[in-house]
Amino acid sequence: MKFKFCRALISVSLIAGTVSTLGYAAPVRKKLAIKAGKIITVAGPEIQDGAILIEDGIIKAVDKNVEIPWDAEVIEAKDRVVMPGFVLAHTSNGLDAQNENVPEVPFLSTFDSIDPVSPFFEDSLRDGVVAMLVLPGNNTLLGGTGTVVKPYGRTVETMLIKRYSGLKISLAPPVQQTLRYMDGRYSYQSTASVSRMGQMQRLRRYMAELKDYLEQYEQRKKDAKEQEKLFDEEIDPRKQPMIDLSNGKLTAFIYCGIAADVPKAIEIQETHNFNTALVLGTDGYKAADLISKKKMPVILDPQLVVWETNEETYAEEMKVAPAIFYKAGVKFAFQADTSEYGRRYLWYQAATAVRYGVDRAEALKSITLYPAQFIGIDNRFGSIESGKEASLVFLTGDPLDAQTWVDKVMIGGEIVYEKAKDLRLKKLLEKPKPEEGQQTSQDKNTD
Amino acid sequence: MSGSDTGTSRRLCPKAWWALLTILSLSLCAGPAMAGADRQSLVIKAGVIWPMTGSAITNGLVIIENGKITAVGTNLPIPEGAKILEMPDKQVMPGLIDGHCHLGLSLAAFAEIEETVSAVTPDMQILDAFNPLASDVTKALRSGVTTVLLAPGYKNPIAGQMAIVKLPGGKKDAGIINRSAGVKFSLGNEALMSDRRPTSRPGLLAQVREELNKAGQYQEGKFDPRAEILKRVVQGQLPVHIYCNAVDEILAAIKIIDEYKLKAVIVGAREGDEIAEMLAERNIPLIYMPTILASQDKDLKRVGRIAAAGVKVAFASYAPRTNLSDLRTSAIIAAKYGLAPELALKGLTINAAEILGIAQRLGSIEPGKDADLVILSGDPLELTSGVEMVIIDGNIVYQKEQK
Amino acid sequence: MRACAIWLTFFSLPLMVTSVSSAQEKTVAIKAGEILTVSGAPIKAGIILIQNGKIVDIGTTIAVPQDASVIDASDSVVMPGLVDAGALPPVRGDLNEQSSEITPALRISTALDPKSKVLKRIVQTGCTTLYIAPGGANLIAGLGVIMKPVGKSAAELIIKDDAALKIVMGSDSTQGNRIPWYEPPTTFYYRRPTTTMAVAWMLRKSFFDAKQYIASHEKEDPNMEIIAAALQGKIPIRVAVRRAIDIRTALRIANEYGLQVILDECTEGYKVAEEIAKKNTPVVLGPFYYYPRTSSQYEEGREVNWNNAGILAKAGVRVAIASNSQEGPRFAATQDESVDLLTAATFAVRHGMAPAEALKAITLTPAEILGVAERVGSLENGKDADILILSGNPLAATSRIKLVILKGETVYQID
Repeated sequence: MKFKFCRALISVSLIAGTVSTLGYAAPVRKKLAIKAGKIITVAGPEIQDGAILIEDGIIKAVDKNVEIPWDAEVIEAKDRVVMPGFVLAHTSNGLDAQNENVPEVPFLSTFDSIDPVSPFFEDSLRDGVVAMLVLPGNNTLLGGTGTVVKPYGRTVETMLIKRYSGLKISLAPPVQQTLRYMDGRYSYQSTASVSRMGQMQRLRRYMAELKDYLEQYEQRKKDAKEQEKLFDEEIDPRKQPMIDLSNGKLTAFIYCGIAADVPKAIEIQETHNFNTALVLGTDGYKAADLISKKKMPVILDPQLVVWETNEETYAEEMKVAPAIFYKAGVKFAFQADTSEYGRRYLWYQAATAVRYGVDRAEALKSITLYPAQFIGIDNRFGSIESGKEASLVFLTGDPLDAQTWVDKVMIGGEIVYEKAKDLRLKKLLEKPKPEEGQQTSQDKNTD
Repeated sequence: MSGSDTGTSRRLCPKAWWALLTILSLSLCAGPAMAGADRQSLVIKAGVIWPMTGSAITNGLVIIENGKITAVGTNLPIPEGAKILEMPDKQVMPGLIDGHCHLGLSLAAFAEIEETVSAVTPDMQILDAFNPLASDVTKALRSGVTTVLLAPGYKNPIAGQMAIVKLPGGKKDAGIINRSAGVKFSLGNEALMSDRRPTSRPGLLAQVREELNKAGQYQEGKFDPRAEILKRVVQGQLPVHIYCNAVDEILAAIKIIDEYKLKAVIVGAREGDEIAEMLAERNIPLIYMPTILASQDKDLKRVGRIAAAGVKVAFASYAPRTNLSDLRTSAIIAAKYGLAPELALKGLTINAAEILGIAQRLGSIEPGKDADLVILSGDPLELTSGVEMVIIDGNIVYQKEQK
Repeated sequence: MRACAIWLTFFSLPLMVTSVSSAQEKTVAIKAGEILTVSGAPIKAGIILIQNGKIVDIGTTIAVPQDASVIDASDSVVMPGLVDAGALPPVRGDLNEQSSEITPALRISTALDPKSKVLKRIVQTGCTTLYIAPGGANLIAGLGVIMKPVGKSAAELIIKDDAALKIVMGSDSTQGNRIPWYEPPTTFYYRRPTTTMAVAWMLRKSFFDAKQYIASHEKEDPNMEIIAAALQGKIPIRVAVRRAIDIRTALRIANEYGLQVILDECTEGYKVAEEIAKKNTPVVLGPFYYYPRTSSQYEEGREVNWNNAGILAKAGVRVAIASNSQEGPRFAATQDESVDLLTAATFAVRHGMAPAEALKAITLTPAEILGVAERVGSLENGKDADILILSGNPLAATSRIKLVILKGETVYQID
């Protein structure tokens, strides 16, 4: 009897041991606790000297006084400000090519075009972005579907957060850019080859043809059923994205190059009842009142401050898009532009908004929660709340302070970026060492 | 024939010679007397006469003899044999003077006036390109414009010499009033080109100064027609007409006028009202751009303000850019947007004559001046008034067809 | 009694007259939360007294005259108006005179447009004194001018004409020039320089010819006159350079001719900071690039260091930060976009420059480099009352300019 029991016990422990070694048994729950000097949850008031509990990459709790489990790895960040990682609601960077030169290609996907090695992703991570929706560019009417990725990973698959997300529609006529030499310098000359009238008509025709196609498809299906024949015809996959758009499975991101395109975008939304987000150009602020009536999400152009000449007084007036939309009660998200000074940083866009009158909490939401909502990932991103992903940024100071740097970036509970180890950034900020080949024997001195 | 007969001789007797001579001399006298039928005096009796010096005359008359005005007023003695035109419901004013146009060119206007291969061409004379028989010249007669200043183009900083001509009329050829009325300068951005100096504004102004400096040092003897002309400009003997529109262009022009003490007129001067005091204190007159080319209502108010500041203003048509008949329209629009009506009329006539230096013979209805008149169906400053008749040097050169 | 009244009236008349004219002798007092003088330590809760457009007193306990108009900035920060040592020129049309590569007598001051949008915008971004120069496509580009942004004509705007001679080294002046290889030379673009070697050669030749000109006492050649004056130290020389090799070439040539120059742009200055410091050469930085560029036929290559300003300052170089917008990449979109100096300084601090240095780099240092420091660049008695009032620390991204005062007059105010 005892022997049988011992044998059973040994076998069970052996099996359990093997299984646990192989890791198929009860998974080891990775527990983290971040003790931060300040936590900006975005969802609620800012917390001084609090802690965030994370388990398996998911936030379990965030509060001032939280009991830290004995088996949690503690990350000390007493001199840091921790907030949700920034979310970029629209970008066309990081792609092999932003546009297809055929106007109606909704079936293309940026998933097939994202280049993980692009410096854009490295810069985005360095600047604190943890999720971004990569969509086709502004030169194609129906550009294709987008992909939500994190700017971290060697392959698109490992970068992937959500596939088949968002469909890009551009109302701006495709622009050809040719390099011209004139007036002693080279510059790009733009020539639009199609008009805005043409774009709208193309879209209407496409939707009409789609409608016909679907009706005929349903008819064929019905006929087959009546005749009790097998019906195995599938919907043309090239048309599927537009169908999904009509069914609300995808959100349309409509690019309005000029403010005059906004009523057109609204017309499209009202006619076809798409979920729509507007991606605006520099003068989009002119349509603020129109948009406020529709309560459509708005993604601002990277250039937030535009100069306008007053027709009567000839004075030059600063128009600040976020301030105008804030006053009109419209929710917006920012874009960044990596080539221009401050515009490169989402936090600087938020700081600019605050400078011109936007409430601080709203501005911070515009780089975290709102973009997450616009692209449909707010169940996981955009704020520090229980149940969301632990994708956070550790900042050296207040996010709206120009002297603040991103110290660490955590994605899904893992630290994936550390400024201290960022060699490229170091090279850009530190004085080059003499042996880095800047001096030659001939020009050692300029005397 | 030999021998001599008594009684009838083949030779004319002295009496007959005298008779022949008398008849010949009489017919010679009669000749001029008959020709004098062409040089008949003309009397125009009109409802309103606008002499431009002094106030308007109601129900007065203008007496024209030998192509000149001999009298204007009311209750004047009418010369014998004068042709009388009764026009009790019409209005008479001096023939209009266009301060800046490009009429009568043999080829397409803008090919003819822009000699752009070289930027500095003061030796070019616009009169060499003028064709008095061109159709636009003859058509221009019905506009009421009787004297024009012809000018070269806008693309050369120093474009060439202007000419003042009377439109052709009657039996005479086009009257050249001044072969070389001055030199045209262009300080607008139109004078910048990408493949020929100057390509920038500072370069344009530097080039103009260089040329004026060189001219100042020019010595007679060395063949340099350009420097010769510019020397006369720098010495104030030849006026300059400087084309410029924006404030910074006009300021640059004023600076050059001050530096080189030029005798100058500014042409265009769209934004002249913003620095009108500077023009007024220097007595720089303006030939204002056609108001119908203005793109904004607020621009139409400018010329009124300039004139109110004391600057002498005349008008231009830039023909064929606008029609010669639009010259009066320009003045009418200016008057509707604030220019004093008297100044609008003077701008078309006497002020233009004074600016162009031809006021001794043109610009007003005064004894001794050329009989260049235009007769209108109503008030000259009403758009609904039309040109009924145009008289140049006492000859009726245009008459509206009566239905 | 009556006589008294008469005498009183008689004597009070001139007083009444002067009180009318004293409306022009305006006294303005600014009560500030914090005064950043730039030349000294910040003053908390201070007052600045202005009379006739000049600063007459700064301190914490100052008697404010009865007739002074008071600006209440007690919740704001006050600093000197900014000095842009390389601003976008308010000139219409092309800035580059392409007909010749050597145009020393070209004066940008002749083409100033007082109504330019550039001036109206630059005032709103806090700039109260600016230096502008001709375009950078020529080797010797011409003469710059120091001016104020508000005025009706050139006479009112300019405070110092012929302020510096602009020289551009590197390969910018070679753009567009070509050799008549298989075609006849049809435009003026068939000329030197077509390589960077020729740039240095032509510069040396110009200096050599100017020296000959000085020695020969020849008749007046306006171009030679200017170069000669520059060689004799009468006109400051500003050399625009980007790459380290060009910086070295510029310093070498300057040394050969015994010249003290000012370096503009200096994108790779960080590589040769000690050499620049040794020559006591001041530097006017701008524009700022995040990314390096490789050399191509369209533009010069350059490497970048974001902390260029900080590294140069640390090496002891006098650093000014300017917008230098027209020197930007050859594909610069429009001439309307000009970087504002406060943002430039803010990011210089972010990348490693000391805050006090950065603030100086957009006020006192450019004023010194331009030679107008006796009247602008800091808040000190006797200087022009060019003052900015901000909602907070000027180097904070969330601070906004609320008021701009130019020579004692408010020229910009937010609603």
